[in-house]
Amino acid sequence: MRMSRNDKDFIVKALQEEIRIDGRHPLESRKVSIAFGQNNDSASIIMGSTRVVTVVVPSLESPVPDRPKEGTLRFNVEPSPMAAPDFEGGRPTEQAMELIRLLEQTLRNSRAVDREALCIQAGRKVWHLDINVTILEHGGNLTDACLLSAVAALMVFRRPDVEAAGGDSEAGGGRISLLSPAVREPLPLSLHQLPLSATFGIFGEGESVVLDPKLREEAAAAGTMTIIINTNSDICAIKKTCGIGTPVLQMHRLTQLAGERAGELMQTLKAALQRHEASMVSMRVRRHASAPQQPLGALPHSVTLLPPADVTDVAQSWQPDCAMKTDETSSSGAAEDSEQEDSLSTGEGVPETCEAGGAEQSSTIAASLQDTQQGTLATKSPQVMHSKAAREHHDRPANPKRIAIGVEKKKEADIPDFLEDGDDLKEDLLHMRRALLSKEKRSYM
Amino acid sequence: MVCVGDRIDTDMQEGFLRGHGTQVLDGQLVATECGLVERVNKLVSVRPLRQRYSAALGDIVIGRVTEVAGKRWRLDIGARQEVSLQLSSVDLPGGAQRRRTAEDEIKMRTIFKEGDLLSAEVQSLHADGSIALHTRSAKYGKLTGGDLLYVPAALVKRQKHHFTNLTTMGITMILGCNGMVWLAPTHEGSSAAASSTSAPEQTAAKAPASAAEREAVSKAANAVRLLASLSMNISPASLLNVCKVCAERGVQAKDMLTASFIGAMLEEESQQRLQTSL
Amino acid sequence: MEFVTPEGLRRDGRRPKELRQLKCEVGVFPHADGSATFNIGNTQVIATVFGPRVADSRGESSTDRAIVKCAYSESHFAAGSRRQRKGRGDRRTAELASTVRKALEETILVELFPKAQIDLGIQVLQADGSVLAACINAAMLAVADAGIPMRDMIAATTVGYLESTPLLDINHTERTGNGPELLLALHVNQDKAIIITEEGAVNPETLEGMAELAEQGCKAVGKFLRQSLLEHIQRHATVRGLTVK
Repeated sequence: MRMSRNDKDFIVKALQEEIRIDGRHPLESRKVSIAFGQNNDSASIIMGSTRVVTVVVPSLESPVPDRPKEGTLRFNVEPSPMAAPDFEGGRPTEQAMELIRLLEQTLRNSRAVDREALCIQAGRKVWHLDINVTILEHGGNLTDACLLSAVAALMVFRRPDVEAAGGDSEAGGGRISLLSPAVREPLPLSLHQLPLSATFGIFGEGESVVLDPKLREEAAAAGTMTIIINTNSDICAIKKTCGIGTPVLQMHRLTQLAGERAGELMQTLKAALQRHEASMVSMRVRRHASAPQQPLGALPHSVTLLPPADVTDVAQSWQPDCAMKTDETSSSGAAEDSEQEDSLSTGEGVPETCEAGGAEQSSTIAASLQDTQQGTLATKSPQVMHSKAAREHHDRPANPKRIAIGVEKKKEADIPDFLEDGDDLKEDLLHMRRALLSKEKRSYM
Repeated sequence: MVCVGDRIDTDMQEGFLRGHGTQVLDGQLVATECGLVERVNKLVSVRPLRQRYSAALGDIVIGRVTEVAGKRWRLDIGARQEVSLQLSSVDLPGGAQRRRTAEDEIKMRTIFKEGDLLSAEVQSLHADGSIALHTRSAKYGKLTGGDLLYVPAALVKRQKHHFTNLTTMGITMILGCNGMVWLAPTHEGSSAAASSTSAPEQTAAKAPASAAEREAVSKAANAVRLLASLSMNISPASLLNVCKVCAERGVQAKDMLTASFIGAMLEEESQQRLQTSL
Repeated sequence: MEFVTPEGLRRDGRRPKELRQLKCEVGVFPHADGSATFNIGNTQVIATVFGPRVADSRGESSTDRAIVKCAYSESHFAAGSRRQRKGRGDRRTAELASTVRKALEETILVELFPKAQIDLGIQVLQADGSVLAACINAAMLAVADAGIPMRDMIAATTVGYLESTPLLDINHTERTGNGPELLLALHVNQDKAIIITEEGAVNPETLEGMAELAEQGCKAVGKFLRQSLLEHIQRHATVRGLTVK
């Protein structure tokens, strides 16, 4: 990235007074947001304005001849041309090669991923994982982002379980069948260690360092050093291959800082994984319509943004024609029930709670969309619903779903937490919610 | 004698001027090259043994044309910087003194074209370091009918006369400061370097060199090669010296580069130095 | 396989803090602007330098400094078994070339040669551990031979850690022990580390020990390189009849 001399001088001078151009402390890093894909095969990392996505693609291959009992991993780093003006498609640049080498070194050569566990039939078939890292936006510190996203993807990745039918492997027998997720839970990878990195930009004569440099800081820096530490507090790798010389003592100091940073990152990563697990479970619950209703306490609050598809599914299931004696109908029944009881107040109640929710940043979009759907449907065909509701009103318990939604509203369920305040997407979501609510309000009038 | 990173002793003098091959670190003068320290009054510099030729004003160089671009020729003189010869810096054929027109530009190839060898002088250095040459003198211009040698540029010191006529051998020698040496048989009347003012027909009509001339040229060329291999300075005097020793020992031109003669040459050299030191 | 005997001797008879035998020659190729060979134990590397000269492509050249390019190649016979793949162009050699390039780019005073290009060529003849360190050392000698000004002398060594002992200058056999490896390239007079690469899991205390040993090793190599360069100049200056003060 080309920078004017003024810019560079400004950054360096500000650093002498321990001020960074985005207001951070020199050893403060940007907030990291981690999101996982629905299919448990991808992880998306956002660090400030750097966005990286990693997708893990499994396939069955024959093993490398000199390692017949090990699975294989291949890493690829793709700097997308939309990430930065100087990224072009075509041959991988020196920078991309360096990142690939780093990933290979820390995740493959260091045996972080247990490759022997990926063996299905020794000498014949093993799992081959293609780990594709795509850089969507280059906002500085690609090293940390790429490694973190690769590690996150590997942690969330679930591979299908296999069954090797009996038979003589030498004779070429022994068919391998992949078991679908419905039959058997996909398995996670066996990871011995989780390496996480901290990159420092070096300024001046090598004395002043900043943690997690932004793009402009990187361009103005005299050098960079990356330290990769794993969960056992062992140093996996150190890379200082460019830029100005630093005293060796500096390295030791940075190692300590890197350890702290790695600890923080690991906590964030684990928390994100837990939330993802929970949301996956809750999604599966909603998907399986015939599944029995879970007791109240077990329903977790959902934080992930439900894709629009789910909402339409739910909406369709509420068509008055498909008389499903399911909890959804009962929930819709209960909903209109209350609507019937106090249509206007509910109408207002919903936005009220939503406003209140908005004030305390609670109430998922999903919940609010469900509410509005219920509301709209109720007003569309109140007569039909009414009879049904009347019928089912007595023998049905208070709709746990409805209460659960209330629970959801009151809980600290946030708008997806990878959105920062002032972020465009968050504004859009809030706006959308308001628009839907106002539309629903109008339909009552 | 210093190596890279060594501190140069400046305690003897009050102040110092930093010359080539040095840098100032924490107030101390530190060498950036491996070589010998030269002190001239207050100027302290380090001269390495070998260095790529770096042009200075007034140097006489020999170069080959690599490109004919708009209103200038680009040459290769083995220098660090870019080198160009402007159209306005050459003499037009016929000796005309006028402004260069577009027609002249089109006819550039008739003067010098790609692959031509020519001698020139460094006219000026531009702000970005690139060199501008000129051939505005009868002695500069295209070179034909001779032998070109490449030697390390450091062995060709700046002398009074770079164009010398070795009458005893009947050859003309041009010592380019960029390490290119040109040897050609002398022609009566004019210098061996056919200037650009001479009509094209003249150069074509030059008779091919005779066997004796060629032998003389190859003898001189071998002498230069010998000096270069021994890392000795190349000058007309040293060249003649080598030829003298060669004649004394009755060594033929083709045997000049054999180990025995080189050894003999070294002996001679050491003898001479001994005598001069006494 | 035992790498360090109870008496503290390594497989090749060295002590843990001992370097292998160092040998170098400056000015081996008269046609290159600068050239040198560097041997450490059985590892042999040749380096050549061309430049500074006018940059080949305008687009790559920089108006305020010279660009440094490095071409790295390993001979087919360099390793223990004949290499099947090409000794250049693949990812590993690209990374090695890039590291040597960056080390020298930081060492050469590139601001003195705007719009120029300096070409480094590295050829590994024999690889017996510490190859990258040897490449950096050879390149430095070649650059010094070419008379290109440098900030400081750069020297590089590799340190391994096997059987609870930091080992200086590991050879190929010791590399097969799969212990952590630290490469350090140091500006010896100014004590600034230019390249630090560490591979393999190691705890911070051990790393400190390895780093200290690496620093000492670099200084020792630096001393040797300096000695060799001075001898080379001495020899040539005498022949040329230049006085030595």
